Amino acid sequence: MKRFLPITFCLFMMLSFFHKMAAQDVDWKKVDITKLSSKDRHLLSDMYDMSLDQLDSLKATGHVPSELEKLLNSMIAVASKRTMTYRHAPNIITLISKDEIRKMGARDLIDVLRLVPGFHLVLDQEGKVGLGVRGNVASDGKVLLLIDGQMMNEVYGATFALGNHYPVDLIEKIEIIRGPGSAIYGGFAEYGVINIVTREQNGLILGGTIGHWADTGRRGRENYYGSLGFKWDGGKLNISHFRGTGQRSEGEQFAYFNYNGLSMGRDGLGRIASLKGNSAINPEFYNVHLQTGNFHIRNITDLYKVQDVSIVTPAGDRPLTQWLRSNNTELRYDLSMFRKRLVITPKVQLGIQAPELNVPQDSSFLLPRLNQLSFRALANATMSWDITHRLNLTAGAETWMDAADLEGRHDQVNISDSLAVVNAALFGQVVILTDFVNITAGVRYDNYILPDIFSTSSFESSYEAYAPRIALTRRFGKNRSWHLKLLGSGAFRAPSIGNVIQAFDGTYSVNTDSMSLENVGRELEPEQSLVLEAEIGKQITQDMILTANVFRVHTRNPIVYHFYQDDQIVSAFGENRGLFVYQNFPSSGSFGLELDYQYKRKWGHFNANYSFYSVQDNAIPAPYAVSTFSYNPEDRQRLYDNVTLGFPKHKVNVNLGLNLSRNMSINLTGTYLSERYAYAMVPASQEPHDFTGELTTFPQQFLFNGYLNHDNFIFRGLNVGIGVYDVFNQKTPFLQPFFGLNPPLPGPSREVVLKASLDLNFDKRKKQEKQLQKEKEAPGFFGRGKGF
Amino acid sequence: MKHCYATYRPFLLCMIFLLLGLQQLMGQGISYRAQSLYIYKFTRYVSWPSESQGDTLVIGVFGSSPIEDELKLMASLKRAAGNRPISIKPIEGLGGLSYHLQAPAQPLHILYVPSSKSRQLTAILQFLDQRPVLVVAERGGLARRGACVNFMVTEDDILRFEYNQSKLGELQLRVGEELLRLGFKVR
Repeated sequence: MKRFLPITFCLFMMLSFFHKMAAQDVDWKKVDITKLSSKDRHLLSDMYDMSLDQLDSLKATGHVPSELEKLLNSMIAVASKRTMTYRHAPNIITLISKDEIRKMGARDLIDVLRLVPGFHLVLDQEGKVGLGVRGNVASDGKVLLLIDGQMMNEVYGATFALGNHYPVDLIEKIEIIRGPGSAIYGGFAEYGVINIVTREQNGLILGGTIGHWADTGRRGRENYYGSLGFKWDGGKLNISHFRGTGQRSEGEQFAYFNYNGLSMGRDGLGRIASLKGNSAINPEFYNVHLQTGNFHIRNITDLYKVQDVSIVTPAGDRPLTQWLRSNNTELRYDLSMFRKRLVITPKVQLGIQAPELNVPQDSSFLLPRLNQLSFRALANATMSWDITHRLNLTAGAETWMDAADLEGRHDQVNISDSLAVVNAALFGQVVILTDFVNITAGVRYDNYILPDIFSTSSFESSYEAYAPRIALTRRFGKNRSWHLKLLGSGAFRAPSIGNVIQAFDGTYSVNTDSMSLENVGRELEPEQSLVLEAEIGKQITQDMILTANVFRVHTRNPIVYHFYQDDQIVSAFGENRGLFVYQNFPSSGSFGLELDYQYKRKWGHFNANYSFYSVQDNAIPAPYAVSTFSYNPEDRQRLYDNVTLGFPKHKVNVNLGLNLSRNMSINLTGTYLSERYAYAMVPASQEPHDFTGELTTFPQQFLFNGYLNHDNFIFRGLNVGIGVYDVFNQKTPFLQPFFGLNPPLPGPSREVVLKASLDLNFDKRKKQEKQLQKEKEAPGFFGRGKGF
Repeated sequence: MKHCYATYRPFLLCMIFLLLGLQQLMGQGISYRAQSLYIYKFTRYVSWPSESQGDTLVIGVFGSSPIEDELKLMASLKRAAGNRPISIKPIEGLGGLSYHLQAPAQPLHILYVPSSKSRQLTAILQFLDQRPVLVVAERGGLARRGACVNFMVTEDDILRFEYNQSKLGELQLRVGEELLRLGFKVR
């Protein structure tokens, strides 16, 4: 109970604050009839004569919506399939618009996601950066990344990699669920969903980004992108492309001489070497969308090259490069009936993924991912039926098959050359809108079938997962400026093919003749989460909103990736030997608080958010715990009860944008991270390559970026900007949030970036004329600065 | 079960805190000026039976509501269909309604029932006794319960209305199709 006191206190303080604010509600101007001038009477009289079309879009609050309100009232579909607004969506939501991205001068998705409350960037493996959510490890397939509806998580391990990867300048908007999404999206959306919608306009976009490290003057990144779109009656075609080169960092990092790093190669364990020119993160991305009538076809090709910084040669080079290559094709048809009240959307998707690791011919490396081909074939049919204007029913069925060609994985276990996981799912959801409360209730049922690849009696070949949810949302108070959300969701994480192959339940025997493990227990169950959330929000003025939410995540049977060792393995194979495995632990989870403040005015904007998490019930799986370093978990001594590896307990983001003129703005963003913990490699002796691990405390850090943006520079459509990132040169490292023996990955140092883009909208003139006409016709009475 | 309660007790406490904090803040919270724009359109697009036309279009406001000022403003500026002046009558309770209905010199055309008086809708309808009065309410479900029109706010803050077609027919109130297009038919 004690640990909840701070949260309860915060809530109490917030409520008091809200009460005070409630008294300062904006009240629409009352008019004293007797004091009206003749001109005012005419203006008012004209207002009553507005057309029915104008009346049809009349705001209940009676005023022209502010920029903030436009954002809050924009319809989003990520939370429930049925479109809802930010304040009614049955999830905790973050919305990011293209204008925000442009004005902050985001270099890549990392710059954007860092500003999301509760999201934290972590080191996954082999130099790849992933996400953690609310103090929970989520980089291994617990957050779903969608780009235009296509899953970007790779099928094999369910992960996605960040860092100069996706075309951030071609994003129209990002809808983020900072909580479970399994009830709609299934097994890779346990802790969150990031839904990216790309820009598709009737026009041409060309642009580029060039960045230099301020310390050395070397090139940090060089990216180019283009998008060409045509629209016609009933259809459109859009083709976009993004490619570039980049470097993760200029810092120094420890890496192993051998992939099987603890086997102590001929020259020792490894060495510390620079990442200068040795940490490539090179993107190449294609997105093609053709729509004709209700039929859509989309193809996304993603070819991402990332240098594997976990391996180093004695000379200090990082010789291995991974290509994460995927191609996703979707065919979709939107069938609408009864004046669009019933929409049925059948779709099929085919995703092919071909990660590849370059291997020097004479290499002695033991490579776990060689020539590994995976694919997913998916069929989905979803029906959304507005039975009445207050009742919506969404239902659907989905089936998919993940398959992998596993040639090259025989180093791990004796399995067949290919493996497939088949899944069938049913989901349903009802949305009931009442004046008192909006109710969203739904459930998704998944049934997985796995082949018995290991021929062990204990291995379950089929299992089920349920993800129910209920959400109550309400807007209330004067001008409906308050909102409340009470959310309860079940969620799950389905084991991926890669998880199954490296599954381990703790049982095995040692064959002393062949010096190998035998009868390894391979049981791995899906993890299940129960997430409770509550959000309260207050639109303090037309331009200002404050929201606060509390959450509690409880995960049963979490699938944890870690390095496993015990005394038997040590006695049989040596002191530093062990297994990298996916293993179910009894439970994990977190609870905490997030505050989000947004203020938008003509002069600019100010956003700030704060997130806090703590760990519940002392139920942290050993690989997540902040403990002393030891290969054997039995020998680790836990140091802190309420914090986990890699995550800051407190995080604050600020984002201040000032419009210096109509076309020029300056944007300042800052991120504060409290102390974090991770294992670093430190010299164990005077020998040059003798290292051992050590728990290291990373002090609090403040990451600060500034960006100057100029729209319509020289001529209309040309936008340029210059920015300095990590002004204080903090080089914020990415920390591994589990015991995975990957030392911290240095982050980018101070970088100076120049951005330019040409944005030619073929129908902009028509649009502007329309807008002008609309403004002329709009009722001026409620508008600020117009009439009264 | 005990463990379950212990685990979620803090969360429940937070919920109770939130709900207590909200209790004082409940309310519909929309602009009455926006509603008055709609009501003005009702005066233009609704036809009453000829016997109850009258020289003045009378709008009654049942109980006290901030909309009264807005409607008075509207009445001072605009006229109803047929160039008839608009008169706003505050009506105090069922007694006031009864009194007003017994004085047929100025028949009531529109009766606005604010959300605070929603519970009295059934009694109001009994008092009206099939008189051709357009009853306008502002709480969900009242159109189904017999109000002719009920204001509602959509998720994206647009003011719309629900209407009870069968009730309008019973009362011989004819509403222009173009206006009904903006509303949701509930019965």
